[in-house]
Amino acid sequence: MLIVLVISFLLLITIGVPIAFAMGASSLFSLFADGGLGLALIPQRMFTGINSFALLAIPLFVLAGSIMEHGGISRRLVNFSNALVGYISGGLGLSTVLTSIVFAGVSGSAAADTAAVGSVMMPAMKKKGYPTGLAATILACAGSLGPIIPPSLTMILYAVITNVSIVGLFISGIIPGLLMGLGLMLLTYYFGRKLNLKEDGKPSFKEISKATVEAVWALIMPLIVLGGIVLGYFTATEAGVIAVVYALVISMFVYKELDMKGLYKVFVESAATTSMIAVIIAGAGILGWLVAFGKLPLMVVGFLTSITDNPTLLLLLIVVFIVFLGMFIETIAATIILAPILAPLVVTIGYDPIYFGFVIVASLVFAGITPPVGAILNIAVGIGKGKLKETIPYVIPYFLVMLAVVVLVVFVPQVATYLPSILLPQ
Amino acid sequence: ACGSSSNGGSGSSSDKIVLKFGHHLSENHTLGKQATLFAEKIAEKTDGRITVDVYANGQIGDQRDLIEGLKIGTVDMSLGDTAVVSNYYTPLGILDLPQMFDSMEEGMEIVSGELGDVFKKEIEEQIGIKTLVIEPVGYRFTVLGKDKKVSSLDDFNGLKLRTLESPQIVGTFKELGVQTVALPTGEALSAMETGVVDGLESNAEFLSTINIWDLGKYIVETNHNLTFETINISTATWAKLSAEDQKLVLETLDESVDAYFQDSLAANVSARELMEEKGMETLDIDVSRMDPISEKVTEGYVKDNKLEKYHEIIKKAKE
Amino acid sequence: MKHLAKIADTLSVILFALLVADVFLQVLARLFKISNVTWTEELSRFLFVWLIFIGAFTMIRRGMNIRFDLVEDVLPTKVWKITFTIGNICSLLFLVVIAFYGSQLAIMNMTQLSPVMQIPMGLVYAALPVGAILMIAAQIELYFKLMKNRGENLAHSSSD
Ligand code: NA
Ligand code: NA
Repeated sequence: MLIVLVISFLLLITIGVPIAFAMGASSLFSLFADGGLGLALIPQRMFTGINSFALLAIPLFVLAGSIMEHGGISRRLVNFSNALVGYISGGLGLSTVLTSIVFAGVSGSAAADTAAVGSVMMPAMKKKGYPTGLAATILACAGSLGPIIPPSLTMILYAVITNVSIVGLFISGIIPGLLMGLGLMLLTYYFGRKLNLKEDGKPSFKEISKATVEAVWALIMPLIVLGGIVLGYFTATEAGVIAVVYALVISMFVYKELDMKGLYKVFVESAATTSMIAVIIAGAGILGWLVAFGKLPLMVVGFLTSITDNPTLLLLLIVVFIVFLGMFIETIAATIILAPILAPLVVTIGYDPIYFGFVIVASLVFAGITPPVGAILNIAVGIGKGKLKETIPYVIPYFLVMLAVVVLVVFVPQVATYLPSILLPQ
Repeated sequence: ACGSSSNGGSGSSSDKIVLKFGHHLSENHTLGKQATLFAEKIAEKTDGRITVDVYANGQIGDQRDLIEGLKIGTVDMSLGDTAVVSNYYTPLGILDLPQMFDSMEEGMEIVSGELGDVFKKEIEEQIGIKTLVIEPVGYRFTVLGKDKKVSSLDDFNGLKLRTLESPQIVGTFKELGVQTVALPTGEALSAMETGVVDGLESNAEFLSTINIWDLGKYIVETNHNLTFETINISTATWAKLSAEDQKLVLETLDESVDAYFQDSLAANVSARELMEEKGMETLDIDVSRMDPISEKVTEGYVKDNKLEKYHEIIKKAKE
Repeated sequence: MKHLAKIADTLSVILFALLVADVFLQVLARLFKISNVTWTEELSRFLFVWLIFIGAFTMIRRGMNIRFDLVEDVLPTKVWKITFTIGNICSLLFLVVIAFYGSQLAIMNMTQLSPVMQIPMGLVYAALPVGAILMIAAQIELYFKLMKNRGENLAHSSSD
């Protein structure tokens, strides 16, 4: 049954069948092959896969991102970042990363970050002569900080599946996320010099202050969203609705850049984006069930623990395993399939569940940017109206920079655990 | 999914039978252990002719999915809390009413008698699954966060507590002036950590598996609910078993219930002890206000759902 | 198809707006201790399920359904037409299974009530077959569009 599942899935994605449908159709074929299980399993598992309160973070954060994009908030954040770093070599790339970092403090989803920042930065970068592949790679990697810097949809999902503290997991992500951002900026600076991506002159202090003042409503947004979670006004999932309402008020009544007609479009677009992510989750609901039913998780855990019992090496193996698997599935689908398999391992090897959770979540995020199956990279390429193959020269160095931070966290856990240890009551 | 290895499936005694048993708990939970024990015993008794594949931790579905799975043929056996099963068969909800039973022993005795038989018969008629066992799990009580010490039940007024989404439990806490909040467990813990909620209610064994002492400090013996568990089998699977095999399954389950019950009584005690060891404090407050509340909630629930018949059976059994 | 798109889009806007209002109400009700608003969590999940399956129609029509295009793009059009057709048959087969067995599941769950609001779960499950039928329509439209013009830009296939 598992063989039919794996082979038909790989064949279908290779010929370009949408990932969600490939998951569903290959599950269907493996059910035909097995014969014992009814086909009603398919709609049932799809329904169960998406009937979850934690997943509401998807539509809410996607909508918040879209309102920010169309209501003038993104543009002001970009202006602010441009004023700070735009004059340096590769400056537009640098401000893409910087904007994404601020955006990540509000948004929980890499898809929303990438779309919102990309809508403004991508045309600007292309105009300045950035190769589309480079621009898309910067955008996708920077957008992927969205689920690493809190709030984070992936972390919410992981925490809900495995019963660990969402807030602890959130706070673990701050330092590694900023380190990744820094690494991305350094690499972008390198490409900026190498490809001679010259920028305009240095802005005056007055220009910088003006951009800062204009962006102030946007800049306090992360404080409201994160502060509200940490101070207990709302849960991590509910934070999405706070971001939506705040962005709506600022866009419609303060910046006055969004009217009812625009809002209608924003809703339609966000609904489609939500479906784009959610159909994959629904598909993963079926695939994940069949994988568990075939007892693959037990085999994987048995295999991993048979190789080594050194906790650090084991964690490193898990990172490699997830990143490899991430080439074929999407972040959220991978989280749903892998979290229940890997979380019980913590007990075996004696890691702090929050730390372990962070390493897993950070590795899972790669699933969204690694080709062949990488939604975030696809979205970024789509915004740049380019092709996936154009990213090939750039995607590996960028990918390695982010991976380096995850490996650092494996060897130096304090990078992730220090902030939670001082911020959370023990 | 009653995987028969032979092609005919004629039901002759030499046929290998594989039963897929799914549940939502860990293998270390007393109920998880019961499922494993059942699997071991039946394999032993039949020399491996009947094997039970246990899928723990909700791997192949949570409780609701498993019940549905029994109906659509993806699972053979499952565990189901009464709170979940009663969404399909309302009368079972009477077991979840506050102070319905004075002790786990009394609960065990009553569901093992006439009441249990009536429930099992009606569940088969109404849901189309076969309930083989009904057994008590443990009392639910209230845990409050570090700065939420109360000195009487009156102090519950205005507290925000995460509760199970069961009308019986929500109804009881409403009477105490509590604002109930529905959240998934993972979110409930964070919500308690950040103060979105002041506390939660659950049973001792579950609370100790989630290290509740990291977040909770005070225990209030509200004992507002004695949770029961059902062990179910798909009617199609049941029909495929020969009469001897059916008997064998029931016998083996009965043995597992005896072992489980002793285990569960002990686990409830040791989990409570562990909570105290980890620094939690049981508040010594008068809970007699629960009595009239329980009566009121019970009366309302029985009347609204027309459960007088079942209530009478319980009352009679208690005499 | 245009009319269908208009209806689907309007429906998804309504579902989305209700979803936002519902979760916002949940936060407000708790913060301001407005009596027991216990139904918001359940309602939000049900709205979400419907939103996904209605939104999927526009998602497919706009060519947003995520796929891996590296191999597909290098295939000569003759070969591509074959693989694309096979892929679409597989996708449609899957969608037909959702439509058919999803209806069964919805009917089976019409008597089962949701724990809080006590509405038939079948009404929530009904999102599956309804969504699957919409997706079938969108997928067939997409298939013929792309068979005619492989590189067609779908980004603006919407109701306006
Ligand atoms: Na974020
Ligand atoms: Na990937």
